Amino acid sequence: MRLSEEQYELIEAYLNNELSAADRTSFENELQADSELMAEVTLQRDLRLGFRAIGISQALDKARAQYNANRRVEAVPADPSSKPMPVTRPLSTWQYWAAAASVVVVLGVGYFVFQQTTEQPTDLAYNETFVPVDELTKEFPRGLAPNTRQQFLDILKEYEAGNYSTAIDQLKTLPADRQTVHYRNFFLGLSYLANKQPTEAIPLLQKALATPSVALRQKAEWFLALAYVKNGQKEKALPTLKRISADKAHPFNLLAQRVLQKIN
Amino acid sequence: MAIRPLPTFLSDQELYDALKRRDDRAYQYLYAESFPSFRHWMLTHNGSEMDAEDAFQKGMLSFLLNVETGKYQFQASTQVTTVLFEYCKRVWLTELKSARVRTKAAMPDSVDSMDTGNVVEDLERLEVVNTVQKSLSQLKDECRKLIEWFYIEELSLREIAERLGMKETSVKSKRYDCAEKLKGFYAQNAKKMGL
Repeated sequence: MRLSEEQYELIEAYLNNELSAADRTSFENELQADSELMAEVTLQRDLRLGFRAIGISQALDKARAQYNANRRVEAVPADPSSKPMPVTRPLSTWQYWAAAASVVVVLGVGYFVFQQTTEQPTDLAYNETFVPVDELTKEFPRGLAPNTRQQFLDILKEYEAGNYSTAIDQLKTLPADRQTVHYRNFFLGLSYLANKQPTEAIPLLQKALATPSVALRQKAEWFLALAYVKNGQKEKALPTLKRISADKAHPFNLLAQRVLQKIN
Repeated sequence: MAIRPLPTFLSDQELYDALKRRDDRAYQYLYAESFPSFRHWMLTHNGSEMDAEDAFQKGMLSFLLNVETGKYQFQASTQVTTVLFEYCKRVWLTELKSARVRTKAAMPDSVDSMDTGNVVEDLERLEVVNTVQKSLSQLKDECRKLIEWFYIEELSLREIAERLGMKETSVKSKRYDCAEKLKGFYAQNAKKMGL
């Protein structure tokens, strides 16, 4: 049913409890008599529930990012007087990061996984849409001009703080020259994925596969597979996930196996 | 990101109230207080790290949605962290049960007899949320931002008008147009999902 602007405003006022008692009763009587209007109100209510949940989810993303930042800082405290959040174990021995996505997480996109050294039992902490900045800076194109490098670093800070929309807006304004294009595409794709926009992430991560850097390409293909999963295109994700699962040297090998297990 | 000390709340009621108004510090507190113990519980109940994070996210989201909408009211006799733990635990047991049903494997009696009515309802509600999210991502940038600013960030029409350099009345009309487009995507997606 196509609503007029007035009808839209009326439904909105009803759902926000902004109608007077008399108007409310009148509207409810109308609802009882008009099943199409009733269906419209239900749909609008669902949309508003979604908006609320997305807001909560964004706040949760920030809380998780802060939790993980505190855990990392706790491992190497810079300021002995600071009182960080409690941690469950030291993280200073972590050697590499990896990422995985849960296909069933409600609003989740990617789960970023940190693994400890082989001397200790495997310890994975999952941080949706959170990547340590030092891992992303590793993939910086060589010989970046200082101001471009600083621009990327500023954007990384936004990303790390969970401000994905800001990171996306800023990345879009960066000129994509031959030196930075692959990294920019990857980072922009990753930011879209983190912002729960897998449809936008997919073409960018596909482009990032053209990078000459093996490490960046491995990340790009992994996140591309996750973007397909999140976009409901499991069949497009499967070949990559199977290949990564079979390649023991691939940094995302274990995670690919787990995601495969989840979606099969 | 700078480290921040763990915030403190004088009472559970204070924590509940802060969660209800979506206070960042309350969210951080709840995350830091609850995730390590839930993770530990998951690892001792057939769950992996990925399962722990997944169930924790769903449990948190369901719980906080219920707090905001008033479906969960503060109870002085029960700690907020205990209630959250129960939400997350039940998400996991429900999913475990559902997976076992799919594979026709046996489930422990304690889980089979669990009343998962509310959890199933909450999880179904999250499907709606997921569909809204997907529909929102299908909108063009300008519309998506406008909807996000108004409905998620709760900016006023005037603030949005200032950001866009538009008149408030134009923003209002545009919001209506964008909301109708969103509705179209949502209706299609919901049909596909069988919602």
